[in-house]
Amino acid sequence: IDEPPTSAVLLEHCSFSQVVFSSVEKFYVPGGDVTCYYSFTQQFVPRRKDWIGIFKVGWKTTREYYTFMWVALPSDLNKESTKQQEVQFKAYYLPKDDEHYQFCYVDQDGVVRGASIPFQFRPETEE
Amino acid sequence: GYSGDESVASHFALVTAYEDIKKRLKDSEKENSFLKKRIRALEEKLVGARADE
Repeated sequence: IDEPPTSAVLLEHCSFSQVVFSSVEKFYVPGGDVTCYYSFTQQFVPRRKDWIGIFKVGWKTTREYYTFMWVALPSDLNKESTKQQEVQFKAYYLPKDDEHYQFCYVDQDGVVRGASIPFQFRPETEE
Repeated sequence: GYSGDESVASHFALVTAYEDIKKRLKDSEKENSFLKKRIRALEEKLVGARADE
């Protein structure tokens, strides 16, 4: 199996890593709400129409999001923007299959600013 | 079609997922080979115990 050309991506890495997702679980219990934790790098300024989407791994365009939430803007951008932020996805809107999904942060110009490790919706013990 | 930026972004997101799943596979294989060893050891014990009966 050929590996994808990661070196080409590393050059562009910075612009895609301005939002960092943290505490992403490998599995989320089906039927439960999901809290997505993320933080902004220092130089990144979030805007009102930025959003976080849940995408099936292998997505091609940002229009393919499964569901999305607008980001919660920190009240004081200077003071709080580097702190951990969170947004909650309600169970009702989450995928019902066991495919791999990931969070992606998309800014109001449609530029992807961060992508998370993948996760699935299934109980951890079920194989 | 989609813009070049978007295809690079989608590629970056895919690589992020790929690298992590590859790491999980490696961990699973490690755990698997540990379990195989464990099974073999228990099998030997079991066979030994039967021989003693």
